[in-house]
Amino acid sequence: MNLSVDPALAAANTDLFGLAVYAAVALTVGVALLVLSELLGPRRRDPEKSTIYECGVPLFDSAREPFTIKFYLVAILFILFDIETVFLIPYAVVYEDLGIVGLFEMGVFLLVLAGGLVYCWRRGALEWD
Amino acid sequence: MGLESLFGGEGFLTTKINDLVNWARKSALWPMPFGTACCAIEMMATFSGRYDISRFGAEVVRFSPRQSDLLIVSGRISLKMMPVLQKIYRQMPEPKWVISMGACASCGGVFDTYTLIQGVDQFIPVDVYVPGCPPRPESLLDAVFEVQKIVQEERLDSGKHGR
Amino acid sequence: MAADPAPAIPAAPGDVAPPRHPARKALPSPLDLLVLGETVHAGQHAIFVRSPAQRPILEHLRRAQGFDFLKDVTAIDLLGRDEAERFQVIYIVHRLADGSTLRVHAWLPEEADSVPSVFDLWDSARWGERETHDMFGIVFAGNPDLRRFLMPEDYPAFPLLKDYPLTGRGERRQFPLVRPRGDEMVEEAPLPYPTSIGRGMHTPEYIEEVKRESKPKPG
Repeated sequence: MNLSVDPALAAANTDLFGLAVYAAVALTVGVALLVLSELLGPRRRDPEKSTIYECGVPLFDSAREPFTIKFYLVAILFILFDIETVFLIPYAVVYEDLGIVGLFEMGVFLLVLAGGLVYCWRRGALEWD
Repeated sequence: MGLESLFGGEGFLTTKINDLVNWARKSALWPMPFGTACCAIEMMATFSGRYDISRFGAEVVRFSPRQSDLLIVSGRISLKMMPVLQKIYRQMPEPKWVISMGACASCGGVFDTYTLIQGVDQFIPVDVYVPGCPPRPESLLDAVFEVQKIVQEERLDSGKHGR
Repeated sequence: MAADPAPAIPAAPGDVAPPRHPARKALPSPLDLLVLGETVHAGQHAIFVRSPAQRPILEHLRRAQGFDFLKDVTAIDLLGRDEAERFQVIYIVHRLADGSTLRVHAWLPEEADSVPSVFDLWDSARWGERETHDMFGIVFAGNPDLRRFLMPEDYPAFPLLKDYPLTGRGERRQFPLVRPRGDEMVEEAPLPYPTSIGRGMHTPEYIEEVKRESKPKPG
């Protein structure tokens, strides 16, 4: 039995090869769409074509007004607790191997973050108004 | 810039590419529904399950002119609405086609009054008119087929869309 | 709506008066003297006053008799009919507690400046009066926001007046024709005919031609 692999095709066996193919296809599709639009797409100049869309009526006011910082706060809190969840998920995979010590360490991790949650709660960061 | 100059003159290849592009455009006409009145109800019926328009490619119904190529004017257009319609039409990118659905959009319908535009074709170019008050969904589907025929006959370098 | 012509003067003594609406019966006598007459049609009662007498009557109806829902404020233009005054401003008031409705018609001459607004009695009067102003040009003194409502802001006329033609005076042709020309979209003057469809189809000549040229049925 000849079990040796043809060296020219050895690259195709790696995982990275799939990734390279995927990247190449994505790049090709993106570039092809732009190029085809440029070659085949129609052109007609119209100054109104690039006006800002507001359901067909003239603009009421500028879009560049400052808006409340509550959105930023909600986003930051979400990120923090989402990362906590991201750490919990691999722990759920290996929790048998880590045993009681791992459980204790994870508990400490969760308690620290729960303390942070209580702080946010008491400071009113969870209130929308 | 044009297809002809790219391929050095008309030929088999440009015709085939023309046909391919037209087929792609007609098979995926994205409607922009401009429904103002009763015809809009029939248009909604055409878009939903029983008279499904997405069988013919017109599935992506987005209420954004920038993401559409078929404007369906369904309903009465009043004095206050006409500048809005014109602005929406002009904000659509090329290529674009317009269906004037129903009697009111085509000619004012039964309402010959001080406030209703007697036919949107006085102020925007219309490709297909659909008679009816309101037209049945089958009539609107027929209008979409007519637009598809128009799209199939277009030439990429005809100058109709500025190319 | 009442089909009976509205009496502008009180009925002569000896006439059989229509049954009175309980709200009218409950009007105190100084206000009752302002009422010119009352009609009933299909169970709907209407009392007639001369502007601005409707203001104290409406105040009484709102505050003392609990008519808490103003259904509409509108007007009628009676130009061309043989009436002493041109307009009637109509208030339709309703009591939600027992469902009784009463119409108050206020005769308004053409040369009157304005009509007192009732927006402080019912909030919905703001829009009813705005619409009446938009359609008839009647000014409601005291209404905080008397702009055009249904018509465009810069519309030059009041459409529901009887001397305004139904098809308008050309306002519906004021837009440019947006059409493609070469590789740009241009705005041009619209073409001279009103619409490409149905042009000339309402003329007697066209109807004659159709009758002449339609073939008789076979057999």
